[in-house]
Amino acid sequence: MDPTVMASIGAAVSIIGSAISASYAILTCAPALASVTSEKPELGSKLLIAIILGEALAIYGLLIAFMIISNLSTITTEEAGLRAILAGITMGGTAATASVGISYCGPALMTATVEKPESYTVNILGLVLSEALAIYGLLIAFMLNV
Amino acid sequence: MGVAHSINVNRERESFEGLLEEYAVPCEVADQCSDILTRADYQLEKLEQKPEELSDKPPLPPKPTLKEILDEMEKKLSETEDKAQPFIETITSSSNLARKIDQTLRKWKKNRKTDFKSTSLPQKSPQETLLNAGQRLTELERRFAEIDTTATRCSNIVSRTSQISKSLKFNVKEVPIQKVPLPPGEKFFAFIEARLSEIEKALTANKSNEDVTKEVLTIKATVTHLIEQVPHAKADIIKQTLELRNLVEMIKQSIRTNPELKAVHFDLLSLREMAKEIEELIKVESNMGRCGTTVFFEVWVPKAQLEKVVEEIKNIAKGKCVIEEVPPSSKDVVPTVIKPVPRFFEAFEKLTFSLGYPRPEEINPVLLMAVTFPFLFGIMFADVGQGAILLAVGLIILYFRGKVDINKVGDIMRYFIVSGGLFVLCGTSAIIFGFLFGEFFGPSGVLHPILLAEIGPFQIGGFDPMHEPLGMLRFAILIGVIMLSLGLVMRVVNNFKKRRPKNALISSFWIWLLLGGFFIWIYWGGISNITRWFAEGIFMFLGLIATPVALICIVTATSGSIMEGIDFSIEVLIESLDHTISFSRLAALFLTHTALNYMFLIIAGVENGVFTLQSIPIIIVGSILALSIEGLVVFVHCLRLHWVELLPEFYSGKGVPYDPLKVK
Repeated sequence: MDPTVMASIGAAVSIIGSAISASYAILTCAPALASVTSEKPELGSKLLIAIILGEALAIYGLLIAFMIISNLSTITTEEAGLRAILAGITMGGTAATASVGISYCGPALMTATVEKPESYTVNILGLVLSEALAIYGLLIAFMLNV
Repeated sequence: MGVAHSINVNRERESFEGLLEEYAVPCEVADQCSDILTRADYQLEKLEQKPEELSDKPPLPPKPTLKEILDEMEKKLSETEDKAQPFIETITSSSNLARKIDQTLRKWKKNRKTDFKSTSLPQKSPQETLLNAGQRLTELERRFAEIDTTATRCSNIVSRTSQISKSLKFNVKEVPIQKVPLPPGEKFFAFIEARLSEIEKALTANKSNEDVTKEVLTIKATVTHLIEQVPHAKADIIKQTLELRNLVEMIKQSIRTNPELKAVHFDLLSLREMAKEIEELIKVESNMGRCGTTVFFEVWVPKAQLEKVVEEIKNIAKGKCVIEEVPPSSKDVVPTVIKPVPRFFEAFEKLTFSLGYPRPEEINPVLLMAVTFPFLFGIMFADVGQGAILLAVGLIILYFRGKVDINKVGDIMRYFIVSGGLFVLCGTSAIIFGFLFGEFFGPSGVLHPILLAEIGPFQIGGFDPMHEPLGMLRFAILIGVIMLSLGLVMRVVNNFKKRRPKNALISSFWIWLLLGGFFIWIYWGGISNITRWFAEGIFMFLGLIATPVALICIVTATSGSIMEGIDFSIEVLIESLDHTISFSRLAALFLTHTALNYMFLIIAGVENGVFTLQSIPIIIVGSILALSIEGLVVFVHCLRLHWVELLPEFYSGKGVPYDPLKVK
């Protein structure tokens, strides 16, 4: 296959995967946040973290897709094209796993915090650890592509 | 942190008698108080005044007991209610009338105008004027209805005449019009309708003649003329109604500005304030145990103020009291006296205390956070241009900080105002790291990376992370190790402050493990060469990793069981590794930031640091995106690094803030 086409596929996979993941994370967390803030508006700023972490997934995907596209002129061999595809799949895939984690832990964190605000510091661990998965993917995808 | 003591005070008047009651304040007093509050609120609502807070609190009536104070207040409230009664009547009737007029206008499909002209009021009393206005309104409504029916009947007649004229087939000529006033009487219609019926009958009998033609035409012209007048007449009535509405509003206005009403309003507000203050007092008193003549209570008092408080209580009780000082036992949760930080750092205080409050014997990490937070933020958001924007925003906020009342702005504005210092520090830090990595609105080539220092394989600054991501990753890990060591040093200090030398020992071994592992990692070139750690570097491995882990295991075991020690050591090993790797997000987010800006630089066509005029709008859009979304993401990650990795190393966040009782 033409290396340029392979690289483009990689970019597309990266951004589409991340965007779907971000959207899934936001669409599960935002309604939970809405119902929480209707009860206790003062918790809103604290719990907004779940939605921002979800949104960050899309930014990571954008970064990798952009890196691939800006490197298009140097991707001339089949191997480089394959690396670009793999970078895209890595980013999209890890974003998806992170998204699943966020969309389970985010609403749980919110409902728990409404009942017992002091449990926030423990429960946030699940959320940030799921988010870390995407960061690991981002680093590896970046290295694959450079 | 003040060490608090608890004092028991027994206030004695004559003798001890009776049992301690659970509710010290009788229900009647509490009821009376809330009753006064409700009544004052009700009056304010009736007077259509807002229940606002008074800026200076009114003094309570000088009476010895709550009951007497409340009686006094109730008397005053009744007087005020009597004074308010006439105003309430006028206001209610004028509001009713205004509502009625509005309804009528809406029925006529006419919105009332919002602006009112100030006209002079009639010289009668407001009640009389309102009564007259009510009568006028009924009259106007009646006339409007009459005009409506006239219009229907007229159009009916017109259609009938057209029918007749069609069957007559004559030429239209000019005919005289009979002037009839609007609305014409019932007689007029009866006559015309009777005449039309006659003509129609004649027509069906085919007996047409010239006279009838002329008559029909006259009728038609007259009625058409009437119809033409209808909109005019309607507009006239609506205008009069609007004037009426204006009058009512003027009356309301004049009542509102009445000085007597203002006095009543002020009285009600001050009564409200007093009742609230008394409610506060009742709440405090209900926490004290008491019998007929004795009051008993326990309080936390900071050590420094102990003598002063004891002295005051003795004064109030005129010496008839028993005070016992009890130092806190190990089971007590001692409240922490939190020293206020300068206003510049208040945002960091909020961020730290979102995790929890410090224990009395712990270091308050707010000032530490004020250093580390901007430091980490600057690494992830390194950019001279955007950092300068953040700095400018921060300075503007600080400039307005003193001029805005923080309690009178919205939620989001309040966050912004509070975080002025945060913006300034983060902006400064971003500028510094921007110089180190050569970023000016992205890697635009305006600046060249400045090499600050080189420690082994680590470069601080002096390279372009877009093309050397591994260098950035190493730098991030270095920062992570420094941060975690800092956290562990703080932990040692805290352990000494808590007088737990064994735990301090564990923490020092932990630092040994962290730095040792880090050294091995550098020496053998990363974790992928782990086989060589065991083969060639076995002694180094034993000295730097195995020994501290074993020591941690042994020391923990001496205070607990051996299994617990092993568990704990494994936890330490994993946590050290995990938390250090977590700092690689510094590199990842830095790259995200640069790449985002780089994208806009390419779109705008900036090359070799030359910003053309056309590129500036695109760079502005990119910067707005970076500052808002990307800035928020960086902020959240920064917070996460503190809440999950750094602060839990030494900070429990399980304290209870000392919230002293404040009663005037």
